[in-house]
Amino acid sequence: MEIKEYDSSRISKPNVIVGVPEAGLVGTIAASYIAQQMKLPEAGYIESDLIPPVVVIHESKPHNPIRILGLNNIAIIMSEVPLPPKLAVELGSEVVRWAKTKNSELLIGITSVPFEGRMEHAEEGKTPHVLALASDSRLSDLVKRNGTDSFEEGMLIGTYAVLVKQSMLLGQPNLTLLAEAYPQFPDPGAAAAVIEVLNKTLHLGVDVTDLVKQSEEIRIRMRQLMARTRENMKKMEETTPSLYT
Amino acid sequence: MLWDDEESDAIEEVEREINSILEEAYSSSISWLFDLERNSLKPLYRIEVGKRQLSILIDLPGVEKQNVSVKVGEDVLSIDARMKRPVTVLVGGTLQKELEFERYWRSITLPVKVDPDKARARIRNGVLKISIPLAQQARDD
Repeated sequence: MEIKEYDSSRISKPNVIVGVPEAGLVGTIAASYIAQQMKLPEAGYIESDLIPPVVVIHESKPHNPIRILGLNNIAIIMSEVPLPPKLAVELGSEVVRWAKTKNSELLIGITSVPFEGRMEHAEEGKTPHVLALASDSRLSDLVKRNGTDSFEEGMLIGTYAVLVKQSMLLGQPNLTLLAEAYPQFPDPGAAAAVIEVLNKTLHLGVDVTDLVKQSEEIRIRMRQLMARTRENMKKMEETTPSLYT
Repeated sequence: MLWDDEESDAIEEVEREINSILEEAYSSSISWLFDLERNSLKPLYRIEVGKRQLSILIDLPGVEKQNVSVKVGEDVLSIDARMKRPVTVLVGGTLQKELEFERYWRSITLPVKVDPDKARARIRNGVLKISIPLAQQARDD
């Protein structure tokens, strides 16, 4: 597997944001929306034999399904296809390796925590809660000061788990943001909550108004990706041990 | 490059196999998400079975409460919901075509027997939650 940039000088010392399909498609929705709002150009793609032989077509233009959008000090790595377990591991490792070579300031994974009470929270007018897992105390203090609670107990699986593990190994500053989300439905509301945390952490200035307005349309458009992602999630969960508390 | 008859047959055979696999893959995904006979979307859903009740969450973006109809039987539930406005969705695999839908429809076989007379439902932001007590027999099992 290899990350290929069209012009390696265009991205330097980036904050790297990773969004791949998982529960609620929070990472995919957030990454895609941020890239669109910041008008980030396509900067590269991921090449691997493990990626299905797929090209996605948008507005008559072909695109690699797993690609990088970015410029200067921001890079977003997003996937439009679900990641089977082996691909999830390879991608996570390669992203951290690449981030290190680019002297990345911070590698951020955007994902979710399946939350059974999501509907009840919405009925009470509450926005989804976002938790943070930081690789060091400096980052941990930063997110706390911005009002984000720590992810205290639990387990990560898939690409985001690999991002955390490999970041620990290679000394890459890493932050994982987890929004409480519907586990099996696309959840733009949860994606909006994560983006608001990112705005405070990285000063992105991304306005989530349109994301909230387009929520119904996004939920309909992303049904197929959600259905395919659920299949992969089942496979990963089958190989995951229970957490004893 | 010109193929001889034997090579042509072999290539055609491989093409047929690939097309058959793709058709099966895409048609199973299509049938899971779309009901083309009823011109409806099949909503995503999730079932949780507790000790005393079964809960089912159904994702119905674009739907308002007054346009939802739910029928609950002992071991089956059906949902019929009209959207506020029709939506155009791309359906298909390699070549996708745009189809317009204006409703959701789905029939779900329940994993346990329930007491349909005591079912309760509520909807918020297009997410419908139906809670149904388990039938006595299911609770005893």
